Amino acid sequence: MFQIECPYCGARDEREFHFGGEGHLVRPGESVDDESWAQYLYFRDNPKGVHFEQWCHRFGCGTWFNIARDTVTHEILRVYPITDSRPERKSA
Amino acid sequence: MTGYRLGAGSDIDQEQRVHFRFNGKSYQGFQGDTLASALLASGVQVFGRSFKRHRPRGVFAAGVEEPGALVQVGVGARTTPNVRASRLPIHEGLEACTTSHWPSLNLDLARTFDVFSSLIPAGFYNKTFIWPSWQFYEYFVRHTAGFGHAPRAPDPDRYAERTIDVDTLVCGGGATGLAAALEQGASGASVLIAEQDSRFGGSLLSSPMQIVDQPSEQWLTDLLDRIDKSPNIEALTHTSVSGIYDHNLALLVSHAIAGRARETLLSVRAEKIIIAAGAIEQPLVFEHNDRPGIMLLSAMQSYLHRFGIVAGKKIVLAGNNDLLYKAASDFAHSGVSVEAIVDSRCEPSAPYKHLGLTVHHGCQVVASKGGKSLQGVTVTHLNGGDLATKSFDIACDALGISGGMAPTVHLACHAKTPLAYDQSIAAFVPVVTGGGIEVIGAAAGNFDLDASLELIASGQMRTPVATYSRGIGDRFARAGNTSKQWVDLLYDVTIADLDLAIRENYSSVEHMKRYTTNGMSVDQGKTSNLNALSHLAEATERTISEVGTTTYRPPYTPVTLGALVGERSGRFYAPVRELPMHKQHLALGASMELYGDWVRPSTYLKAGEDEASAVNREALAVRQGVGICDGSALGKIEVRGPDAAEFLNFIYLNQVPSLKAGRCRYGLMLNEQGIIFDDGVFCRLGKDEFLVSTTSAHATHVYQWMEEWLQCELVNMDVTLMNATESWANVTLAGPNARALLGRFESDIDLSNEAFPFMAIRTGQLEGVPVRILRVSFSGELGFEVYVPSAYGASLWSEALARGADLGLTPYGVETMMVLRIEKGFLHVGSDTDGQTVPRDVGMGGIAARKQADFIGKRSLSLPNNVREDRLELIGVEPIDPRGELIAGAHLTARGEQRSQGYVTSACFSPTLNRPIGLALLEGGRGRLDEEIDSFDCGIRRRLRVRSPVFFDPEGARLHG
Repeated sequence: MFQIECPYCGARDEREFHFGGEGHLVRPGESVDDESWAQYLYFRDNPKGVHFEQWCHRFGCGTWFNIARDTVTHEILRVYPITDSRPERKSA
Repeated sequence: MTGYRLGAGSDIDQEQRVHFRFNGKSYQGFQGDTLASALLASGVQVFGRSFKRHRPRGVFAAGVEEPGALVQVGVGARTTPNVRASRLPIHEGLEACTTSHWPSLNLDLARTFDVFSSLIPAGFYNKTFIWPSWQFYEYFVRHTAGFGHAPRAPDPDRYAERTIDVDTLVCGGGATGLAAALEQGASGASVLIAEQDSRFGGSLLSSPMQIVDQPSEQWLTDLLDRIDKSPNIEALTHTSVSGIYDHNLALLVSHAIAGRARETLLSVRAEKIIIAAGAIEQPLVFEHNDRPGIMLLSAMQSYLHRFGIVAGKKIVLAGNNDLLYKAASDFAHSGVSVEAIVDSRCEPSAPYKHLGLTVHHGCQVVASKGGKSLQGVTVTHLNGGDLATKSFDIACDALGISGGMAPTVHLACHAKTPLAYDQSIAAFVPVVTGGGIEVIGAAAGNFDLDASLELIASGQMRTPVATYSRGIGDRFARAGNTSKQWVDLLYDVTIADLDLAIRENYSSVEHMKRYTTNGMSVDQGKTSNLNALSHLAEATERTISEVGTTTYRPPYTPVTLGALVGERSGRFYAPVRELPMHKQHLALGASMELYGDWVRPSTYLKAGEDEASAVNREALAVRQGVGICDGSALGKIEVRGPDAAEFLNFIYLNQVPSLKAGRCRYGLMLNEQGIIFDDGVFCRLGKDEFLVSTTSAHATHVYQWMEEWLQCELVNMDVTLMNATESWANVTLAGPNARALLGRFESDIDLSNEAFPFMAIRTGQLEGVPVRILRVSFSGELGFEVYVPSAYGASLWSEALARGADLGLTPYGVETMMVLRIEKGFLHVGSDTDGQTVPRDVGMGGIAARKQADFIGKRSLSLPNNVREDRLELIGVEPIDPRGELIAGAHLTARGEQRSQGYVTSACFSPTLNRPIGLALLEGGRGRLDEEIDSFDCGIRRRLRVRSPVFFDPEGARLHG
């Protein structure tokens, strides 16, 4: 079980959080073709290494935020607001 | 009778006798004895039978690595299987028995498996129980296999859970663990020490020595005294670290914490975890090395020093390292003489010359002799690694064996620490890379205690020191019958089994493990894995590093399900929600059932009624008079803010901004795939203020879903959400007399049809209580949902019952509500829709097509699969025979055809129409009205007719009345 640093509540156990999948997805407009829409719906990154993902402190303050996590070591490299753009992989 | 009690031991109190029973016979031991020590002292040699061949098994170890002496403890609901006798403290009245023997321990008929052992080699199951099927053999195999039995009654005990945050967790309370804990605690850091044994001290308890010029007993006492005086150090015995998980979380199971709990599960999050788990002695492999009377050398020392027990009258020690001489010296110190030492190394060990022992250098035990008990060993001279012909026998009734110590790497591996094979100790050592994990002492391969302590004192825990100054010899006797040379004593895996696996190409270490079952039993190979992979390496001409190890996973030692479950069983298994009018329902005799996480009335049974007749009565009462229903479980989400209308317009399939204040609209929510996700009514309370009503089971989910969209996607919208589901009670009145009944309450709300039309909401007061009334209907009748603050729910309910008696007011439950809505063809999301249903399938495609603004799932509705002509569409079905049956879930086919074209989604008996009716999803269903089709369920075909889903009052006159 991870320990995650909620930006508002501090370090808490993973069981207080909800995993929201890959972050920084861009919702395409209605006019995109089927292929692009399907990419948005169904295709996700699955890197060995740094993964940018969304979490929600569901059983706490309820806030959604982004984290950068190493999928090999599970080290959480950065926690940042949901509205921030994706960090460069180097600086993460 | 072989073992005997010599005298005092550091664990036992000879003043206090303890009586217990083993396999139905009475024994006695002393306070502090384990079952193994007490029985050894009584001369018991056979403790159980091995798993496959049912060979006799004695006590082999003194700790958690015990692979032989497994017992079933206790009776009735508290009985526990697979307890290691070496870890079980005895108490007055203890009942224990052997786990696998039939019919009795000394005459085990299943022993015939051993006689035919060549017929049950590795992979036997995989090769044999194929024809006709595994199920054919399963009963017989299960009967003879397995260890012990699970209790048949629910566990009467309680289990507790504790969460602890510490700076440092020390796993293991031996010399190095204690020293490290003190060193860490010196700066004021909080430290928790967990020791699985009943006492601190680790190997010092079994093998006392001199530490920094004082006896280890004294050194240990001083150390524990200092720990005791450190308020920031908590030290727990009887507490096993079962696993280390991500971000330095450790799970501990403790029997030491006082209170009513039988076991306590500790979740410990530590900045630093120091693993001081020690090392486990590895056995030698030779012919008949499984005979009772053969024991690990460390176990012999443990029984001697801790329990005052000598394992036999004539003791021989055999091994490949210097531990032999330390043990012999210990025995001599206690006045016990050792018949002989068999050392596979050729160089004599000088420091022990003064003991005057008979030492056979360059020799190996190649076989044991005897029957159920040991009578002697055959020893052979090694000559430059080859077996010479010269061999001789030594008579003995106890043999202590030592193949050297192997660091207990399990916990380090849970923490993903890589391992490296260290030739100098012939074992794997962890290679610590940081990340808040340290491994010290014997667990790091540093068997020199003084050196370890020096490292700890200097703060450099990590440097491992190679130890056996005179090296380590071979563990394998390379002679004799390999099918009688055990590697895994518990699962009966021999060298021959390993060889067979290799011949059949199961030569990856993971394959070999599974094919032979080596290391897969209760002990998880603590004394067998290393020997198995050493043999695999040699047989396949690889290095041990190349072969590698299998993956070490938690738990380190077995954990009871009770400890993991904790308090979360029975009524605490999952939280259950009760309605504000819960007590009123019980008083009315309602049958309460769980719907989602709500306990709700299914029906209100009267004397002599069954559920079906109760539902019929309730439904007719609603259609003919008025019914009352507790709708408090419906979700109530308040949406406020300047962008509230725009936000909901994005959430709902339906138009939101055009809704006028005081009005309601039925709407569907879709997920981004266009699939129907929830439905319900949304109401506009004011310009920037909405109330969203969701389905009961989905309220929390919908609220979280709306929050996610608001926070993650619609970040610029100024909207606030509040889940007010539990703040309001909902008393639903439905039926032609609903208005008359509601009118009997004093209120500032005009209930007339003109002032308060269908699909409107009014706020005001009712008998002086704030109220929101929705004129909506899930029954098809004139209906009012009356919302009052939850605390007033019960009194409103009771008042309504009192004032409505003459109007035929009848309480109705969820089952009746379902009948009423099926008669009307009202959708129930999750019953009448599935994970593929889009709005067009339920007749709401037009609304989607007309809406200009974007909403969740909109783009998906035009994907090719979602516009296919042959999609399943919601329709009504009824049996052609009005007395026929209609089964929810039954497949639908064209008349006489085989291919399923859909299924019945909801079915009931309609008391209004006096026949079964149902809703169904059917391929192209809306174009097939009046067609005769078949339903198919459990082999039975029934003829149905396709109908409009609205069976009752299709014009909706009653709703608007």
